[in-house]
Amino acid sequence: MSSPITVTTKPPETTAKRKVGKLAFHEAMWGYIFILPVVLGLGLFYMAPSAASLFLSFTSWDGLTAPQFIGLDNFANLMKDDKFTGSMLNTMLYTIGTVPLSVALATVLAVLLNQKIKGMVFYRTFYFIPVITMPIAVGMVWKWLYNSEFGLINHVLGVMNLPQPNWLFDEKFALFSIVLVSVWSSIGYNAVILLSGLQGISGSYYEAASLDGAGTLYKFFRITLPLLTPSLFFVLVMSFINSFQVFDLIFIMMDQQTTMLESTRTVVYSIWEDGFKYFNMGYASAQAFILFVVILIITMVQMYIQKRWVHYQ
Amino acid sequence: MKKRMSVLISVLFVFSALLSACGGGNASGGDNGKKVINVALWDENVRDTLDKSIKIFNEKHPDVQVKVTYTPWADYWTKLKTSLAGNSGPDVYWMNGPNFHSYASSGLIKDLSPLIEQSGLDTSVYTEALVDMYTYQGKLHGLPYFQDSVGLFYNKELFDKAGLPYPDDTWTWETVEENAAKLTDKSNGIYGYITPIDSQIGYYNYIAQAGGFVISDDKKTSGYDTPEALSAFKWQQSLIEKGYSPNAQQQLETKSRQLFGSGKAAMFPGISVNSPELYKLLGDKLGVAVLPAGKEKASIVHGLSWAINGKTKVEQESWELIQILSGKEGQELLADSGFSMPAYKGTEGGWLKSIPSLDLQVFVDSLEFAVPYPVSQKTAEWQDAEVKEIQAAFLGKKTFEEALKNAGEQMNAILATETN
Repeated sequence: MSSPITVTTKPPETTAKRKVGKLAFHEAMWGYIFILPVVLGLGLFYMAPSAASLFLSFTSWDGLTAPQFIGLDNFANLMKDDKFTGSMLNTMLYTIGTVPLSVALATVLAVLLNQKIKGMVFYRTFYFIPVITMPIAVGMVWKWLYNSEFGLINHVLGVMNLPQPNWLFDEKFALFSIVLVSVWSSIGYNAVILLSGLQGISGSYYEAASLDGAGTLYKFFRITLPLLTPSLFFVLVMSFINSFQVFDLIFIMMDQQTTMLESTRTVVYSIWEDGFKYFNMGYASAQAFILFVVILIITMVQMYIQKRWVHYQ
Repeated sequence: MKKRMSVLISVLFVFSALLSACGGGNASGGDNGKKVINVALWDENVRDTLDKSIKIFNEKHPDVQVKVTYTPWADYWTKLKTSLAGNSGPDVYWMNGPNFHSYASSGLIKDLSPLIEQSGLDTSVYTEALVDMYTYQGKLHGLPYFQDSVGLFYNKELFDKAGLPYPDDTWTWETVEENAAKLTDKSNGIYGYITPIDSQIGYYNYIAQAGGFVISDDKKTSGYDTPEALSAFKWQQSLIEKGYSPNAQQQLETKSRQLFGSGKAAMFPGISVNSPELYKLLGDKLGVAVLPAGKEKASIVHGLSWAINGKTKVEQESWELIQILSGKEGQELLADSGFSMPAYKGTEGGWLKSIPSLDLQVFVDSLEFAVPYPVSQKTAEWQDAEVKEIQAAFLGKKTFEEALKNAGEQMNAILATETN
């Protein structure tokens, strides 16, 4: 648009705006009223605590006396704290172990669950059961399965004359064992998301491909996978976030006082320890803030590179 | 999604603490304008005894209402600390050793000494180790309620099979080792003795028996880096190496109590409160003796006490109440219920009869050489450091010399940051 036109049309526009403005204001007001409950909830239970936590990360607070402002001391101490750096490393290892395995297996499972065979509802339910089972129950049962002397896993390995490792109480295996459990319990959820993605893929693509003589594998890699990428992207982002925040499995499967924690302690576990075991709230909040930033960066990187591999139809 | 909750919860906690701090004020006027005492504890098994004691209290104070809240152990300390911080905490509550100093030094517990003086209460009726445990800066801050000591449980059947006499109070570390050798039956997976890699039933006792200490009386120095402590661990290690006791990895995985309860070990040092559980598992096969002596005799004693909120508005009434709970009558009620060994000397009669086939008197006798469970303001912190080092040594990742030196250094560093 050239400027003269805007000048000539300006007066009528403003009058119209005023009329529309009133209506818009009215509509907007109702809009705000309708979202008020959510905004209040979000503000009260998410924003305010997050802000409080951020503030506390610059203080030393035992939960009783008034917080003492200590600037960046918490962060400086964290960088020197072997426990924290170790827990960060464990969390990374855990994520690297869990996410690819869980997503890959979930993709395969989703494809299998997308077939038209009898009793499919049963299979779908079956694989979803771990998701709705309480993490505490999952942890307790797996702890017994893993028991090196009386556990089912080592019993079976023994019958087959295979080595029987001490799954949870050998530092070489402990984190790996926990990764296996979390893969087992997250596959169902990921598979259901991917399954819904699969069902959104139009059958005509496959029909056309079949007419052109494409094989099953070719169809999977050239049609299914590309068209599934939006769902895969969602699953990946969520899996990353979830595995950076893992706590419950480690809390249940490990003793609270054991040297084994050195190879299994995650960041959230460390936050819990400092915050609720030692009541160093400021120190715990600082760790929570660092974790938040790490997750934020990872999610932003994922958002950025999605352009290269996610295909929206 | 669930996992995201854990972060949220920590954040929410902080926020709720702030909120409750704003809320302020503890409602002391109850229904009908009655005065109210709020009582908090975690173990519901003591409910009957508590109700009976409160009835006695109400006969004298019909105008006071006692409200009891049971909070499960897992939430008890977090809830207690937040509510006390928000000035809405209970007036009377259960306190244990590891938490005591952190609460007392924050002024959350009332100093009982003026009240004791005023009512002329004789505190020498309580086990000395417990009075020591709940004394902060020379003043008693909690009235002992019940206690537990450590004794040597043994499996009579396994002793009979080996044709050996049962353990008694003449036993020493050497006798344990001799007998453990004879009782160990590797082909059947039976161990002669379990030397626990745990603190309360294990090395805390051994260190004291070797003439050492975990924490100095002034709570300033760790006793880990001493020859006495080292000799205690060396003895434990030798029993494991000789195969008389299950090793650290086995014990980490399967609790030693379960192992003994399933008849896989002949001797096991356990706490008095383990008696009902072990009796249920082993029945009349279960026996108990005092802990064998090292250089000297020692048994770690821990117990709970009733504490009064430092900011309570019903101080007199609360004081009257805990005097009944921890008084002769209340303690006899507690003993009769079989719940645990009462802290008031001479009231344990009912408890001794609670398992007729077991000589529970052993635990009372053990009080003669009681050593208080080691505590200070930051107990949880140095205990974690201690466990980390000692377990690593038990697992063979480092020598005990190195582990104890590290544990001592770390503990001293933590003790140096304590404010009391």
